[in-house]
Amino acid sequence: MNVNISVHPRSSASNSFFAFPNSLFRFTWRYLLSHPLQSALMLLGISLGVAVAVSVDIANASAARAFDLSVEAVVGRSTHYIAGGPSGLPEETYVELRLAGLEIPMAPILSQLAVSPDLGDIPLQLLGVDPFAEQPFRSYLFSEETQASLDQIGAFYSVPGAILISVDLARRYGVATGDTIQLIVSGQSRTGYIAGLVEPRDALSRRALENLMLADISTVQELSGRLGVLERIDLILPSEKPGEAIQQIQSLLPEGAEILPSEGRSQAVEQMTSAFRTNLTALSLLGLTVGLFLIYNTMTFSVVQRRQVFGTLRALGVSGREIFILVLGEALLVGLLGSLLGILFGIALGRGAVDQVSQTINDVFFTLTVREVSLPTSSLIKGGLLGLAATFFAALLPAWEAAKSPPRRILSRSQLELISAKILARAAFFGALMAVASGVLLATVELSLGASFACIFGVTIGLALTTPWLTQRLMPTASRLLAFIGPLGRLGPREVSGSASRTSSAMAALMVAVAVTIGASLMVGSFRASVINWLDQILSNDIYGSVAGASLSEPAIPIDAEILAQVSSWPGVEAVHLLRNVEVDSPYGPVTVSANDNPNDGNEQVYVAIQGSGSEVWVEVQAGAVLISEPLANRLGLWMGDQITLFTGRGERSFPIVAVFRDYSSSRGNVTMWLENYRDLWNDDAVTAFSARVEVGKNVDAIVAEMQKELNRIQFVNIRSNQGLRIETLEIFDRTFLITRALQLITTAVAFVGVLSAMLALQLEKQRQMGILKAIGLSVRQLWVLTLLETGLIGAVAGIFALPTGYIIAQILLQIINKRSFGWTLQLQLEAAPFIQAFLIAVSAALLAGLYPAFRASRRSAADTIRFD
Amino acid sequence: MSPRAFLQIENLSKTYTEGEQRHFVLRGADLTVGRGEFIALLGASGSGKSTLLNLLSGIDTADDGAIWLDGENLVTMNEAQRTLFRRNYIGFVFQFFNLLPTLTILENASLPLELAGATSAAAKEKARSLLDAVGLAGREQSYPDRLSGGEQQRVAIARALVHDPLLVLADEPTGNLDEDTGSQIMDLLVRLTREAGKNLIMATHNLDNVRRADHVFHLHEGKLVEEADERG
Repeated sequence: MNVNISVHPRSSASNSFFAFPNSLFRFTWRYLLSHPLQSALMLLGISLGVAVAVSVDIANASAARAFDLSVEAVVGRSTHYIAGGPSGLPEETYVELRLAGLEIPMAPILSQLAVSPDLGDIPLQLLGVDPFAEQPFRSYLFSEETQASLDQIGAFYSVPGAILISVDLARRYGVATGDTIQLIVSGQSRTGYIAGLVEPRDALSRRALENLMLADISTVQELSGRLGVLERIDLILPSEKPGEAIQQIQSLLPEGAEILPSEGRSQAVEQMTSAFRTNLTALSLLGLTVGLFLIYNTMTFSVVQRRQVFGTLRALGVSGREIFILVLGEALLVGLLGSLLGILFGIALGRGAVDQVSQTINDVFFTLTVREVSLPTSSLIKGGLLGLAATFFAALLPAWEAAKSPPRRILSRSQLELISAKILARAAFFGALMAVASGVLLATVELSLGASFACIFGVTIGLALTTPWLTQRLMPTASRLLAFIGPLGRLGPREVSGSASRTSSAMAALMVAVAVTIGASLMVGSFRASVINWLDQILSNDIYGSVAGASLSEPAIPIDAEILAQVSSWPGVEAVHLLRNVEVDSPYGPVTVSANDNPNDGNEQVYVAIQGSGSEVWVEVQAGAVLISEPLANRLGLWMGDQITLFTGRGERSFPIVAVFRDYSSSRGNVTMWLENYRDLWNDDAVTAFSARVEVGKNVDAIVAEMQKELNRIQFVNIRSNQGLRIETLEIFDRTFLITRALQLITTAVAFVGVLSAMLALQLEKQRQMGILKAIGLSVRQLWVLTLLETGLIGAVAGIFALPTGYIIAQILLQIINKRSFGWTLQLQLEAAPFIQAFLIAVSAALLAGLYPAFRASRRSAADTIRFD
Repeated sequence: MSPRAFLQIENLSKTYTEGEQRHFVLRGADLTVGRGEFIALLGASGSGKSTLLNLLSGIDTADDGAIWLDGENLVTMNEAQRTLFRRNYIGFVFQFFNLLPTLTILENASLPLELAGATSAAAKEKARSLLDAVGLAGREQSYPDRLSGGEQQRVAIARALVHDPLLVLADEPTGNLDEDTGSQIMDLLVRLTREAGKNLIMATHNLDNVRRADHVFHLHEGKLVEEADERG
């Protein structure tokens, strides 16, 4: 047969260096398809990493959005506001300002948190406004589009307890115009009348109105029992020369009233929740980092496995650069699919995470009235890009390795391992350098929270990079130690050390995941122990009471005087102490003041800085000085010996700080002062919590139950025994760290997928070797032992190296991250349990990952595996 | 360069370093080949046959000397130029076939032509006719692992010729096949290259293969010596 071979003139031969025929794409695609398990595991690794990052981002964005909306709903477009302190402003002030004829938009406000059993028992903002003054401030509330009908307006002003709610809220809970609903305001049961429904005109007003009840200001005064009082007056001051307007208004204000910028209200809380969110983001990025090792591992293996094929391609004229692009493209294809899956998975996870994050913010920071899950496009794009970027960087080295494949000549396995040993030594050197540099930076420089986390990553990843090299050094010893098992005991460690090019990154990934588990467990455990010690010290009374619905750590809703009177004369109660917890304004933004009349309080605090004894310090407090908590001291940069300035009812006052005390109840921090001094300066007699000591021999639980029953007739209050309060506090603590544990678990899952993927790939490659071993007499049982010994050793080594790394991470989290995030310093409580648990996790994960490969290897016949090649 | 020469090797040297020891593989080897000739390379294992093929294809670089092929000196080319040169002008037949396992045999056979810039359809059409010529019509969609060794080598021959190379290099093409199959493969390879007027340079130990060559060179102590008596 004669074949005409010439199909193109010599001159038309390709001179393009990037000829990418379809066959090359098919080559890539089919490789991925022909190794479905390997590709699926890589997809899973990427998608888990991306999912964690996306879900936390969604949760953070939703919390931030909820925060903005909560603030937006009540602050509106005001530039400044007139604050009257805890006791509020007399409403005459507003009338006088109006009569003064100032051409400045102003609107009186009285807001209160309320819950309604008829509206889902969720916290709702009851916002009392003057509808005629509202338009410039919160236009979405009373615009033409949202205005209710004339009938509804009539009822709004004439019916007691009349409120407006959004159409969405009414629909959600099946209520309608004309219905009456039960409202719990300041612990009192009230009746609300739905005078009308407001139809939001756009997405913004829909969200702002979602958890808002609008009422005329007089209605809120009645419902909250604060007749004649305004919380504040919002102002829109001219952008030019606002100082003149401030002076003008100030001259008309009563003593104690201050004009403050609106933005200050939200900034302080924003800062603290942002630290919480940064912590979550860092933890979520860790999941992706572990995923990065996994991608690297899988890509390296796929390159090593195809060295011969790449060599052939090079011989056929495919350039190194084309192979580089081919491998990178292959990784990016998987990265793209993994990221898309991760985004979908992340949205689902995010919905759960939003609840967790909102709950923590409610427990620890402030009450969020919006709990909608927002799905910002930016979170999704960010997640996708993160996945692609992680894949790109993880695949760079393997792609480069593939591009270097010498045409046709195939490196022997031993040559490969020789090269790999050199790379491991370099990686170890670089890793040690990175860990030391990050550690030194952390210890010596005052870094931002983000930079501190970057340094923790530096330390962890740096130590992870040294793990494979150290493993190589450790294996000969392991071989000697395991020699008693027989030849398999010697073979196992040799296999681990001889397959470093395939297993190193999986081992490093597992080490990182386990180290972080140890670090986080130690941190949470130490934190919990510190909180328990602290509770032991500060909870010296038997019974504690506050208004139902108020925050446990910062109760701010006043208790009815009748209740206090009854508690004081309760049979069996020996002494009662009162507490006023309140947010006051200051040049640094809102600050929480805790004023109490417990003469022994000085001895019930745990001090970080103090001169003299607790009793001596308390005498000074009674004379007008204050104590500040550690988080506040760190946040404001104040310390013992300094002065703190607060806006009191009698104007600006500075208080000497005589001691700094530990306080884990709030990361916002507080100023503790003598109740009498507070009352004198702020003219506020309200009490927001009480504690009572019961006579010796009396049954505390019985008194608590009786009090709870009796006092609820007057006001809804929560009466807790010392033990009950302790349990509740620890429940909140555990709830706060629930999401941390969930993220930790996912990170370990990603690492597990990494080890499984590496072991599967390794066993696939060693089929022939296994076949030979079987042919020369290795039993199926011995094959299982060998495989599991190998994976078990990888897990054990990762576990061993994770122990010191986890300890270092815990120290950094406790000494640096916690202090920078929340202002707390904590002592490390060394316990064996987290170390043992983590080590067992590492070994079990690795053993589990070895099960399927061992099963596969045992199922193949020796003849098959030998013929395979 | 000699006027009759299509391929001329001048004073070609190549050494490998292992530790501190240098091994001379080629020491000033010379060779002149006319257009369309079939050259057989003989030599003991490790004598440098494969190294010479690697140098001729630009896979490896010489330490010294020149390789003139159709007027161009491979030794002075850089890596990128050698890759392009190989892509366009060299066809390979390996001892272990080296087909890409994830591509069908049609895709394997058409790949070099696609790499050289032909459209996929044109490349496939050409590959199909060559697969027909090597007796694999109807097997185009099979994957390499479904083929016997002889069949895989037929695909490799089709792949080596599909892009109309100047030179076909074959390294022990029958070394992994039984005698009958090896003989059939050789018939095919020699017939197709001769019909197309291509040069074939083959490294081999097989004296049957040697008998079909126009010239036989023996690689001994790094030099090429023509041994006419080897052809029997």
